[in-house]
Amino acid sequence: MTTGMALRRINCTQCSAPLELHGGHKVERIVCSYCGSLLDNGEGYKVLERHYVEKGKRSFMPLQPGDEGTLKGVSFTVIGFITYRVELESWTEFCLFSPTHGYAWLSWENGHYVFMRRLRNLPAPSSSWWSFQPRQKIAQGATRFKFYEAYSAEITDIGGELPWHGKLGDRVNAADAVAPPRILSQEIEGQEIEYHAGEYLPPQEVAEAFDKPDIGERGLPRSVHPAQPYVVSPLDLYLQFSGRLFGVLAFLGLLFTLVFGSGDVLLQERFSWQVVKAGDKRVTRSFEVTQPGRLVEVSLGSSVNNAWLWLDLDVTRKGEEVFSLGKEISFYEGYDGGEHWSEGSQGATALFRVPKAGVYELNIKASEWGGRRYKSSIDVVIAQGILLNRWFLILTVLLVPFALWALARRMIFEYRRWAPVTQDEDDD
Amino acid sequence: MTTPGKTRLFAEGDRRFNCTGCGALLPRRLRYSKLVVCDNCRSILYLHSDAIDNLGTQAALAEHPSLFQHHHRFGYRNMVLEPLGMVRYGYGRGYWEEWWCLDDKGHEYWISVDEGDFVMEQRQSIDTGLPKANRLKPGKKVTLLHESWTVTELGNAEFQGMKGELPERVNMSRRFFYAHLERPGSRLITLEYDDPEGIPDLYLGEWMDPFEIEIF
Repeated sequence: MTTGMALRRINCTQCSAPLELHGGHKVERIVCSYCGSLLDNGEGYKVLERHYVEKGKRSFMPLQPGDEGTLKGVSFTVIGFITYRVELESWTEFCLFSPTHGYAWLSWENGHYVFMRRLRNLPAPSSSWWSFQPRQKIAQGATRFKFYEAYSAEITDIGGELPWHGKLGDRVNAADAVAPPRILSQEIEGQEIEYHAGEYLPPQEVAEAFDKPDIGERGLPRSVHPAQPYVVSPLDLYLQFSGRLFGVLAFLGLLFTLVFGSGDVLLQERFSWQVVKAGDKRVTRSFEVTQPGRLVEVSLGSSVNNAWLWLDLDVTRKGEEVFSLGKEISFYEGYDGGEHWSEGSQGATALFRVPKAGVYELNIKASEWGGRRYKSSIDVVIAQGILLNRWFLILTVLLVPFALWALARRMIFEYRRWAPVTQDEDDD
Repeated sequence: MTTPGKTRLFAEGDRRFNCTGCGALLPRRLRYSKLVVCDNCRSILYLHSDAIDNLGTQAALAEHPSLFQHHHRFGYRNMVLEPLGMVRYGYGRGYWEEWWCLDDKGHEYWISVDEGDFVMEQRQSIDTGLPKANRLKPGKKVTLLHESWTVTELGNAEFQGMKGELPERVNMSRRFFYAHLERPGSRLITLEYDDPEGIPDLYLGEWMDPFEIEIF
């Protein structure tokens, strides 16, 4: 698409060092990379200032003037850079030039990259955003942005060629709005307001575009950039899909057991206290099981209060014991400080299976007791074909976090995106 | 048949023209053109009625990288355009190029290109209610075409050269004053004053995003 541009060379008017120029005729300032002099491109490269950071004294920068790369299908050359600082945060914007597509900026902050271009189609509102609140709506075309923050940044370093007339120490008032991966930046200088539209670029894409493996190895992204899109990892997707699939199945199983798992009642009878406490003699009742192999449930109910009693239960068939257990029913309640409390239960259940269909006998007896109101009749219900729902319930509960895994991760990501500006707001 | 002082070099049937300087065959796309630069000898030929005036030759125009190439069609949004000619104007430290393009329906567009700043405009036939050049200042509000516009840029430009075909005769020594006026929605008006006291030519258009231009 683009063709190569002619390289121009000049000699620094301060130190005579040879400088290679890559920019176009809109370049206003040139910084000598050897002596740090700031030259005015419009005034015969007149020296404007001299105290810029000299070559070799800067910390790591992923790109340098003269680097070439292809972004969005267009060949660009890095022609200069500006470093800004707001309190403890700093970032560098590399100026890119294409002879066919003009000037663009590649912002580098905490290992993140944003490709910015001048925006002519103004957003609404297009007045100053300085007093906006985080997440306030801003429209640009069909995209709805959320206001992020306004700031006054100081220029701490510049280098190369720049289509711009600033100098060290100048301050730039700007405001950003985001719709990840897009970002809108409003710069206010006097009465003029300029807009730039940006798009977040993964560091790997920048590294490949400029053939700079260092970008991937050094300065990996830290924190969450305001314009960084949330990218769902394959593992997150897998966990979410599995959680939702099996969670739904477990929930359906739970519903099924709740609707169809209560079984068929085989015996339902109330035994008076005098009957169940009668010495060594047990109360015996017969019931017929027609679904062997499936669970049979014995449910016990009482009216014990602030008391306990121990019930011995046996299930026999033709005199042979099939199932035997002791079951305690214990229930206490009262008032403490005016508040009602209770513990224990006035009922109990037991589950068992029988080996084959037929008539079985239930033997029941109260063997021990204590407390105030232990003299209670006992309600006995025996049902067959019981389906347990507790396992489906546990499975459903366990799978919910997996089903919501990606959503939770996204919420955490969004929290980290907005925390720097919403915390400031809270502090205010 | 020859008209005195003019050279008639086309046959009625196919309307082909030959350069009056070197005799090279000129492009067929002359239905809309008035000015043609011969690719062979760089003679500038002005076509009018059924004759051609040779206005002289121009020096070779320095080649600069450009998205647009002569007769290479391109798409922009839902339009397909073909650049037929280009005029280069110098200003300040640099230059801009104005490409004369036609769409499939024969509508004319001027696309100015200045280091990635692209503006597509059409000339408007308006000669009343236009401000004098000395009334314009950067930031001043001006009402044109029933809308309020803001003056964003003023400057002087001069003709540097041309290539291809143009729909009108261009003064090779042209110097003019221009003004850019903008309003929200990326819309733009350019006023060109050949005479600072006179009536300017008005071009109405909008900024183009070069990343949306698709070269076929």
